[in-house]
Order: sequence, then structure tokens, then C-alpha cells
Amino acid sequence: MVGETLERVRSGINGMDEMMQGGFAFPSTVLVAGSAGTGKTTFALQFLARGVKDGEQGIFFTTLSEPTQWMLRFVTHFSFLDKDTFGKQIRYVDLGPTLRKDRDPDKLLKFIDDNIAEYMPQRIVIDPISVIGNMIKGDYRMFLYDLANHLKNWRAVSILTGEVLPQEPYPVEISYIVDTVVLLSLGLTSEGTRRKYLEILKMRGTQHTTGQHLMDVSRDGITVTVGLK
Amino acid sequence: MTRQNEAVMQRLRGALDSPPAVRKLLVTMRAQSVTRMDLAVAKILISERKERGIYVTIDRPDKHVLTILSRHNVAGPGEASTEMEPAGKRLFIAKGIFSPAVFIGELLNRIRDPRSGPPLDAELRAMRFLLVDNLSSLAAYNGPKGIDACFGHVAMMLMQYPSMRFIALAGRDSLPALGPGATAFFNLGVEIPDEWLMD
Repeated sequence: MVGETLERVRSGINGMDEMMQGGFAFPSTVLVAGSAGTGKTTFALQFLARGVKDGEQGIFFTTLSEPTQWMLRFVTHFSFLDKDTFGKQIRYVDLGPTLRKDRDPDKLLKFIDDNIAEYMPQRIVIDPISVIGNMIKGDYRMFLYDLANHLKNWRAVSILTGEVLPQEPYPVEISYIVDTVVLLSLGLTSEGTRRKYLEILKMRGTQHTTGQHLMDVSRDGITVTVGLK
Repeated sequence: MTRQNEAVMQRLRGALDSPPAVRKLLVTMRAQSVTRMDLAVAKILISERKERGIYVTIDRPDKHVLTILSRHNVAGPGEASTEMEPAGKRLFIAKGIFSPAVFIGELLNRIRDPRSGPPLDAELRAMRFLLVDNLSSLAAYNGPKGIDACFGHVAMMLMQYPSMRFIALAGRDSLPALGPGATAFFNLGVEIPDEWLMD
């Protein structure tokens, strides 16, 4: 079977590992793309929380300059998140000051590398990556290429979340540098109800389920029901 | 340091204290912890015991490894080098991308043929370890012949330099892919239990 020799880590998303031979390939880079409100940050936190349960360390880079206490205030109602793990097994690092101060892609990469080198996490999140394109000087595509290469060297699973623009299904410039693309979307059911969907668009070295699958966000986090569309 | 970390370090120190006859040591753990264990082994060998040696990285750039060792005060640019030169540094970090066999082969050729560069034999005689940081990757890039060639080159290196030990780290789930010859090659296996890696 494809990808049998790859090591895998559990995604933490209820129902998703069965869609992808048991989890994300380790190490690999993953783009989680979707429009506002589709659950990208929840997905990323659930992924980090699963890592803690499996004895792994995580690092959460935010590009939104959102103070830790505000981010935590909105997410701590989730049952999967143990507040005691924040600052310990899960580190929170704000990329905002570095981004605003220098707008220099090389300095930003070094800052990211330095933090990863210090904590040596097995799970990395950058949320959202798409903001960086508007903030750095220079070539965004080159930055993304360098970032992906740097992340792969860390032998971790890295999730980059990407905001989807109205005219594009997913951020194309990021999708070609990652191993996996997961698309979160909103859609109307035949009854006129707005529902959320998860779709694995691409996953290197893995036989994965295709198509959109119904996804629900509750206190327990995201649950995907494979087969329900 | 937590009790779990101390337990890991003690097990590694115990293994590295093995009699000189134990020259081929395999440390296994879950794949997700290999990078941290690489660092732990390097700390013991280089920071604690001040040993000289070669660190071969299979799937990372040599400069990346130097960054990690420097960041954790194991070996900075003053002590480690990515260039193998005579009378050099305490640690040589070598790229063994795909397989350490290529790098070891080049090293052995250089020793046999003095015209190929400055002499390295005295340098290598002072080295006490040949560390391979993620043997798991060997199976991803090589078939059985390539894996055999790797161990063949390591054996030649150990024969040439009797004071040198071979230490390799690998994710335990990758061992079947490496084949029975790989595990049989080592004379000591050390397992790091998952529960020691939980903090």
C-alpha cells in the first residue's frame, strides 16, 4: 500500500485519521485552507492538543499579533485543550513584532528557526501564513519556498493555515510547497442549511479519502463524518 | 530536569559506558523523538565527555545540525565544523544525505590516497565516535543493496579506526524496513520507552 513505510502522527481531528492511513506523514508540511469561520485555528489547536496527549511538544506561531490571553479566552472552552499545557508542552510565539519591525523575510525565518531550535517541537503551527504575504518586503513565493524547506529540516509535522480569497478555492502559492492540502469550506445543504465541510485535496505518499465530508465543530472540537456530504 | 529526562539520560550514559568491545550501538525510540534523542546523545558525548567525533546527518543540512548544537551549547562554530580538515575542530558534522556510505567512502578514499587532499589519518585516530542521526531515513532512500553498502562502509571505518564507536539512532518502527541485517550489525541495542518521553 502507498505510504506504508512512512511514520505517522495522529491529527487529533475526530474521524480524520481514518481518511489518511492513520494520520499525517511524519515529518511533513500541511496547508489547512479555508475562508473565515471554517475552523482553521480550531483545527490547528486540536492538532497540537493531540500531540500533547501523545507525549509530543508543539509550537504555535501567530501572525495576527493577538495577545496570548485573548487567543486563550476564545479557545479554552474546548474540552480537548488543557490550559495547563500552554506555555509548557504548547508554546505560543507571536510573529507580529518581528513582522512589523523589519518586514524582512530572512529575519523572520531566523526568528522562526531560533524558536523551533530552542523548543525542538514535533508539531508546529503557523496561523495564518497568508497574512505574511502582505507584510514582508520581497518575494513572498521565495519566502514560502525557504520556509517549507526550513520546516522540513525540523523533522516535525507543520501546519500552515491559509485564508482563502473569494476568487480562489485555496491559496495556490502555498499549496505547491506543502505535502498535504486540507480544505475547510462552507456550503448549503439541499434544505438550505449552511454546513461545514472538510476535504483532503492532496496528500503525498498517502492513499486518502477524496471529496467533501461533513464536519461539525462542537465543544469537543472538529469531528468529520466520512461519507456524509 | 524532570525525572523522565533524567531516566533517558541515565540510560544513554549507561549504554555509552559499555566496554570498549561494544563498538556498534543502536538507540531506538519512537520516530517523533529521534531529533531530541540525537541532541541528548550529542550532549553526553561532546559536552559531558569532551569526546571528538563525526556526526553524520542523513536527512538534514549539516549547517542545520550545527545551528541546533550551537543553540543548545553542545558545540558552537568554534568547536564544530562542516569541513573536514586536519587539526580541525572537536566535531565534524557531515552530510550523509541518502546514505552515510557516500561520505564514508570519500573519507576512506582520501585516507588511502594522500594526493586527494591534506592528510586526515591522525585526525580520525583521535576521534571516538561516528554518530548517525536518523538511521530510519536510510530505508526511505535505499534498497537492501544500499543498506548493506552503508553497513559495509561503517565496518571498514571501524576496522581502520579501532578507537571509534558507531552510534546510530532510529525510530523503532523503521527497523523492519531496514531489514534483519541492520539490527544484527549492532552489538548493543538500547530502547527508550515512550513513557520516558512524555514531558
